[in-house]
Amino acid sequence: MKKRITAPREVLHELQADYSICTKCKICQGVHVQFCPDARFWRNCPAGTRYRWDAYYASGKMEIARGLHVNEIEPNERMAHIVYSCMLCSSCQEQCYEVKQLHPTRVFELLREKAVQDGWGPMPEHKKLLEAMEEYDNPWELPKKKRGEWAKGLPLKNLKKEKAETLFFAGCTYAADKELRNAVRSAALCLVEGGMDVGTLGAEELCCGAPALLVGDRDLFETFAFENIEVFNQLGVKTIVAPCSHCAWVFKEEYSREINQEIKVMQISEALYHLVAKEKKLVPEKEVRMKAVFHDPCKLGRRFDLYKQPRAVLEAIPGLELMEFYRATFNSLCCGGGGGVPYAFPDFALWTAKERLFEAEATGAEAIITSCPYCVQMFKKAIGEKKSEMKVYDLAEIVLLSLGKEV
Amino acid sequence: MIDQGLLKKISEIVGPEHVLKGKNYLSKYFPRLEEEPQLVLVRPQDEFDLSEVMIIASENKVPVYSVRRERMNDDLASKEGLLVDFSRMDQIKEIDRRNLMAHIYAGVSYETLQKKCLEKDCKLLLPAAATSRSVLRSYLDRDILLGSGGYRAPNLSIFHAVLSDGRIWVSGSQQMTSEGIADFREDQGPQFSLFFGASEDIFGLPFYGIVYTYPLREARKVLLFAFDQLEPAKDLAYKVSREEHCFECLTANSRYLSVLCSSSADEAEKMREQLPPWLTVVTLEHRRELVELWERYVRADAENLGGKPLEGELVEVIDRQLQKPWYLFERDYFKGAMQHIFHYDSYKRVPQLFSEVTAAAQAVGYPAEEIGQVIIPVYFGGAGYCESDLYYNPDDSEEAGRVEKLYEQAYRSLLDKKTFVDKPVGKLASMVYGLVDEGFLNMIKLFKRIVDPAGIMNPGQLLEGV
Amino acid sequence: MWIRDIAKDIKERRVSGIIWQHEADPLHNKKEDLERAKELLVQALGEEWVTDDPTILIGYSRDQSPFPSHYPHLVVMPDSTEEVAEVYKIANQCKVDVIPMGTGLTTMALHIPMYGGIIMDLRRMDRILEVNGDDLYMVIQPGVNYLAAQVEAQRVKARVLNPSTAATAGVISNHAFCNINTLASKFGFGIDNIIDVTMVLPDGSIMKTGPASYGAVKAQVPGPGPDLSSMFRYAFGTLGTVTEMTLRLYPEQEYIYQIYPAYEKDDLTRVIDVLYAVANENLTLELAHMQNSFFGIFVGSTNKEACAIAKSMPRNNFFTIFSGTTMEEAKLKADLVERLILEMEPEFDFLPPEVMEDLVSDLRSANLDRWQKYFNVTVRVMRVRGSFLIGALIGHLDNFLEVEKRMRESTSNQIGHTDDPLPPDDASTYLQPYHMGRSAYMEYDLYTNQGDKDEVMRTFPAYMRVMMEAMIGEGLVLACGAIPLLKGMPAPLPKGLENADNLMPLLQPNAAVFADVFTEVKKAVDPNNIAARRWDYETGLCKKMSLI
Ligand SMILES: Cc1cc2nc3c(=O)[nH]c(=O)nc-3n(C[C@H](O)[C@H](O)[C@H](O)COP(=O)(O)OP(=O)(O)OC[C@H]3O[C@@H](n4cnc5c(N)ncnc54)[C@H](O)[C@@H]3O)c2cc1C
Ligand code: SF4
Ligand code: SF4
Repeated sequence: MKKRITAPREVLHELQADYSICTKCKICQGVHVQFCPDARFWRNCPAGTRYRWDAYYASGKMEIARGLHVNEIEPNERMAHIVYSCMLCSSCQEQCYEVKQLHPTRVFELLREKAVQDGWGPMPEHKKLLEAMEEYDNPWELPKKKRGEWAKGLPLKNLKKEKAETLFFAGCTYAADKELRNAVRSAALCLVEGGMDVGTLGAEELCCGAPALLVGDRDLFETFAFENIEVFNQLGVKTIVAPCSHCAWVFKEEYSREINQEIKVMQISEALYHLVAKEKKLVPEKEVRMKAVFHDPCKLGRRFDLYKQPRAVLEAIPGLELMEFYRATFNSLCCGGGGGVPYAFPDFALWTAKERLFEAEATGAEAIITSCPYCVQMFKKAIGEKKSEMKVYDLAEIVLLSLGKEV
Repeated sequence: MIDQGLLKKISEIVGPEHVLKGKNYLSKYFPRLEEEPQLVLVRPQDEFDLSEVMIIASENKVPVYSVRRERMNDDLASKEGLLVDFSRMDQIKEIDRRNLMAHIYAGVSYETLQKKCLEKDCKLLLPAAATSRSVLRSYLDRDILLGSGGYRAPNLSIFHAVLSDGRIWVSGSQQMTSEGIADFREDQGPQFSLFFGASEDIFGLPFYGIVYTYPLREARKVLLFAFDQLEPAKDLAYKVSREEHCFECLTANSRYLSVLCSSSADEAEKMREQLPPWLTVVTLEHRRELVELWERYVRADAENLGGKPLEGELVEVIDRQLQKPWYLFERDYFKGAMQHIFHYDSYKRVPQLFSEVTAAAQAVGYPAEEIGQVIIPVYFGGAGYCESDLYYNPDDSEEAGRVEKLYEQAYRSLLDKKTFVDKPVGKLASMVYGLVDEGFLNMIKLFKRIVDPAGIMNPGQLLEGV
Repeated sequence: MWIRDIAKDIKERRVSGIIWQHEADPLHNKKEDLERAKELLVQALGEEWVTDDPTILIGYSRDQSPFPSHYPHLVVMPDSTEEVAEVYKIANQCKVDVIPMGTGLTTMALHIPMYGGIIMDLRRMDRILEVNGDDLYMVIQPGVNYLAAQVEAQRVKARVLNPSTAATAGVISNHAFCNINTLASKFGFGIDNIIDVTMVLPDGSIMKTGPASYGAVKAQVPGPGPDLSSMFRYAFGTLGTVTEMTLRLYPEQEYIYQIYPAYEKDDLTRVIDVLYAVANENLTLELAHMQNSFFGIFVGSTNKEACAIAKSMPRNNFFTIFSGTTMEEAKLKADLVERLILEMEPEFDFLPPEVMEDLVSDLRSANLDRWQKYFNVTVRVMRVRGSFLIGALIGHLDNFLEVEKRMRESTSNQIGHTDDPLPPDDASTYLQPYHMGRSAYMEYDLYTNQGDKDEVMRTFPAYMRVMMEAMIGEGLVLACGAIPLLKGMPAPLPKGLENADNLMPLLQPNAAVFADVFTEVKKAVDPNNIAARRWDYETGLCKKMSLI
C-alpha cells in the first residue's frame, strides 16, 4: 500500500455555479466559428460527435452534474459510459470559457472523481490500469528492471548516482512502448546535443500518476505525486523535461503546488523551442523533405497555450513544409487518446483517431507530427487500420533527423 | 342559386347600380364574349359591403369569383355566380413615407399610386408582366417587378381578405396589433397568409393591403448594351445583379422591346430595325458619386463581354418605358392577342431553355424570330424570370391554333427540363399541378376546406384539371 | 454522527429525489403506450437511436430559460425523412407526443417537453445536400448548423443570414423560430430565406413545397401557386417537422469596410431618426443599433471588463458594415453614410477603428475582421448573470422610442438599481431595422441568474411586466408567433372566458380568425394531437406553458 496524502482538494459541488448556469447554448459543440475554414470540419467534441445525444456533449454532462447535485438522477451504466467516454480534451471548455467563462472540462474531471468516490467509476478496464500502477508503479505492467531500457547507450546521467541540471522524465508510455523508443531517445538526445546536462531516474522512475487522475482516482494520483515530488525536490535539478504531454500536464498543474519553486518544468516541445528557435543551440541543417501537419496534443495546446513553440521548431527545419489542420491550435480535434478512453472504449478512440487522420489527409500532408505518446500511438493505430500512407513522427524525431543524427 | 330575391338582397347592400348582369357590363372582363354570360357583376364599396355579400353568398351556396385580371379567362363567363369587382374600393388610405409603405385598397392601380407616391418623395416597384392594374393584386400574385435586381422581394407587407363566411382574414402583425404599430408581414403563428399569394383567390378575396415603397434617389442612369448573342447579354445582367450594381436590369430581344415600347404594329416594326438582336438594360440609382462609380464598373463589365454601349434617343425611350407598369394585355395591340410563356430558372440555363421555345416554334411553324423574349434577374441573379411572348391574330384560327400548340409543346419540354413555373393558371395549371407532390396538393385542399367549407370561393380556378 | 454519513444524510433529506415525474395523462404518454412506442421505435430506427435512459433524457430537460427541468419520456434521433415519418406514425399509433428539436436555443423552453413524450433530436440529419453559389441556394437537413452552413456558403462566395446566436444553432430550427440578424435591413430575415421544404406532417405523410414539389430548379421564387414553404415557421412543431429545406443564400462581395457611428446621449429620439435614414439608404450590408452595454458584453472577455468597456463606450452605437466588389466601393458607401449621419445629427461621433481594434485585440471571438463572417459573440449576454430574459418585439422604429422608455422605467421599478454598470434593471436594448427600416426588431435583454431562484423571482415579474406593457400598452408584437404560444393559455376568468381562445375574439378579433384557422388545420393534420401538443382539443386549454 502506497503512502497517501490528504491535501485539500476541489470537489464537484464547488463548481455548482458553473454547471447550474450552463445555459445549453451549445457553443461547446463546435469549433470556434470564426476559425473554421471548411464545413466538413466544424465538430470539436469526439464524444458528442460519435454518440450524438446531448448528454455526451459538454452541455449534457453539465446537466448530469446538476442532476446529480440536486439528486434528480442516479448514476447508472449509461452515466458511467458518458462520463468515461469524454476525452477530457478541453475543446468544449475552450469554446465555453471564451464566451461564458465556465469550466466544463474541470467539471467532468471532478465528475470522475465523484464517480470514483461514489463507487460507480472508473470503468473496469481502468481499474486494471490502476491495479498495475499499484503493483508495477506504472499502468503498463512494465517490470522495474526494464523501465530504464529505453535509454540504453545514450549519454545520459543516472540521477540516482550523480548530479545533473536537467531531469529527463521519460514517462511510462515512452518507457514501455517499443514503437515509441525512437521518439523518446530522440528527445533525450536532442537535449544532450543542445548542450544540456541531462540525467534520468532510470529504473527508479515512477509513474507521474496522470492515468489515475484522468480516470478520477485522485487518491492514487496523489500517492505518486507525493513520492515524485519528494524525489524531484531532492535531486537538485533545475529543470525537468518531460517528452510526454500528460506528465508535463500533471507536473505543471498539480505538482507545482508542492514542487520546489526553482525547478522549471518543460514539455519537450518547449525545450526544443528554446534550443532551436530561441537560443539556436541546435541548428537543423539537414533537409527533411515532407509536407507535414502539426497535431496539437490537448494537454499541451489547450491546457498550456503551447501552440507557437512546436511550430517555431518545425519552421526551422529545412525542407519541411509545415501545413495546418483545418482544426488547428485551440480548435484542434483530440486524437482519441485522451481521458483514458482508449483503454475503456478502444473502438471509439480509434474512430476518433481515424476522423483526425481523415482531416490530415484532406490537408494534403504526408505526415503528422505531434508531441505526445498517446497521440502517436493513436495515429499509428488509425493508419494501420485505414492502411493509410500517412507517416507519424514525434517532434523530437524530426529535430534529430534534421540535425543529421541517429539514435 | 342566384334568384331575384338574392339579387335584391345584394342590391340592398351595394346599391342596385353595382349589381349588374349582361354582356354589356361583362365584356369589359371577357372581351371575346359571344354568349350571354351567367355571371352577375357585384361592385362593393368597402369591406363591409363585401363581407355582407359573402355572408349571403355562403348562406345560399353561390359561387363567388373575383376579378383577378384585366382580361379574364373566357370560360368563366358562362359560370353561374357572382363576379366581384374591386374597382370601387380604390382609396389610398395612407402613404407612409417614413416607414416606406402605402396602405391601399384593391382597386388602386399602379398609375394612381405611383403618381401619389412620387408626390410624397417615394415610388413603387413596377411590374414587368402584370395581368391586372391593381397593385395589390399584382403584388399578391407575385408579378415579376422591374427593380427585382436591385431590391429583394416581396413588396407586400400585410393584406386583408374576406373569407367565404364574411369574416376578415388579416395577415401579419395586424393579427395582434392595430395598423400603424408594426405593419410587419409575418403571421403571428404558422405562415398561412402566404397561402393566399398566387392562389387565384380560392381561399378569400384580398381587398386591402400595405405595399412597399422606395425612396427616390439623387441620381439615375440608364445604360444600354447591345449584343448579337444572348449568352454574353445575359451574363452581363447576371454579373451586375450579383454584384449589386443595378436597380433595374433586364435582357431582351429586339422583338420584345419593340413591341413593349411601341403602340402600333408599324411603329414596332420600325423600332425593331433600330434595335440590336439582344439588349441588356441596366439602370443605376443612388447618390451621384455612387452611380458614377457603378457606371464605370458596369461599362467595364459590358466591354469585357463584348457589349456595345448604346446612347441617344433609345436611352430615353427605354427610360420612359421603365417609368410605367408593363401590362401583358397592352401587348395585344401588336397582332390582336398575345400568349406568354413564363418560368424561372438558373441564369446558366436561360439560353438552353429559350432555344427549347424556339425549337417548339419551328416544329409548329411559328416564326421563331417573332418571339419576344426577356430575362429579368431576381434575388441578385439567383434566378432569372424568363418570358417568351407569342403574338398572334386571334381571328386567324390557324395561327391561333399554332400558338396554342406551341404553348403546350414549349411548356411540356420546359417542364421536362424541370424549369420552375410559379403561378400556373388555365391549361398550364393542369400541366404543372399534375406533376406536383400529392402532400402539397392535399395541404392546399385542406386549407381550402377549412377557410371555405362550402367551396364557393373561386371554385375550380386554381387546381384546374387536378 | 459520523462525518462520512453527512453526505448521505443530506441526500436523503432532499425533497427532489426522483426524476422529474410527469403528471399521469389520461390520453397521452401512458406507461404501457410508451413501452410499446419504444419497442416500435427501436425497430424503426435501431436501438442506438432510441433511448429512455434518464442520463440521456436529462440532457433534453432544460434550456437557458429559468424554467424548471421537464424530462421527455423518450429521445430519438432519426436519420432521414422516412424515419421522421416513422416516428410520427408510431407516435400516433401509441398516442405519444412528439417534439422536434433543432438545437433548443429558443430562450423560451420551446422544445422542452412540458408533457413529456418523445423529443426528436434532428441533429443526426446534418447533411448539406447541395450548395449552389451561382444560383444562391443551399439544400440542408435540420441538423445543419450555421457554423457549417456559413463556411460552406462562403466557399462559394455567398453567405447565409446568420443570427447573432451560437454558431451551432440549427439553421432550419432557427427559421422555425426567428432568424433575426444584422443583415435584415438589406436582406430580411427568417421567412425571407425559405425557398422550399420537405415536411413530415403529424400523420406521417410527407409534403414537398415550392420547387421541391416537382423536383424543379430551385428558382428562388415561391409557388407553384400558394406558398406553403413557411408553414412550419412559428408552428413550433405543431404541424410537423421539416426534414429538408432550400435556404436562400445572398451574395458576398469581396471587400468589407466598417465604420463605428456613436451617439453619446442616452436618448433614442435622434438615434431612431438617423437609423431610419441609414436603413433607407440601403448601403449597409449589416446594420444594427446597439447600446453600450451590448458592446461591452460582446467585447469584454470577462464581466468586469465588459462593465469597464460599457462605461467607456458611448451610450448608442451603430453596427455598420459595408461591402463592395472593390474597396473603393465599400469605402464610398461608408463615406456616404457617414456624411448622411453627420448632416442629420452633428453630434454623432465616429469611433476610430484603432480604438475598436484595440478593444478587441486580445479576443478571438470578437475579432473585428471576422464579425461580418459570423457575429457569434452575442451568446455572451448569457454570461452576465447566467441567462437572460429576452424582450423580442417588432414594430415601426418610431414606436420603440416610447416603448423603450416605459420598459426601462418599469424594470427599474420592479427590480431596483445597483451601481453595477450592467445593473439588473438596465436591460440592454438593440434595434434591428428590417427591410430598409420599414419595421424593426427591438431586443430588450434582462439578465438573470438561472441558478439563483431568488434572482429569477426578482427579474421574472419585471420581465412579464415590461412585455405586457409593450404588447398591450403599446400594441407591439412579439417577434415570434404569439398565437400558438398563447393558444389555450388559461385565464383566471369566469366560465366561458377561461382560456385565451375565448378571450381572443374580445381582445383582438383579427387574432381570433387566425387562431380558429390554425386550430382547424392543426386538428386536421394531427387528429391525435401528438405533434408538440400545446393545448387539449377537448378543453381548449393547455395545462403548462413554456412561454416566458
Ligand atoms: C444568447 C442567445 C442569443 C440569441 N440571439 C439570436 C439572434 O440574434 N437571432 C435569432 O434569430 N435568434 C437568436 N437566438 C435564438 C436562437 O438562436 C433560436 O431560438 C434558435 O436558433 C432556434 O433554433 P433552435 O434550434 O434553438 O430551436 P428549437 O428549440 O430546437 O426549436 C424551435 C421550435 O421549432 C420547432 N422545430 C425545431 N426543428 C424543427 C423542424 N425541423 N421542423 C419543424 N419545427 C421544428 C421546435 O419544436 C421548437 O418549437 C438567441 C439565443 C440565445 C440563447
Ligand atoms: S458548457 Fe458552456 S458552452 Fe456548453 S452549453 Fe454549457 S454554457 Fe454553453
Ligand atoms: S472534453 Fe472533449 S470529449 Fe469531453 S465533452 Fe469536452 S469536447 Fe467533448
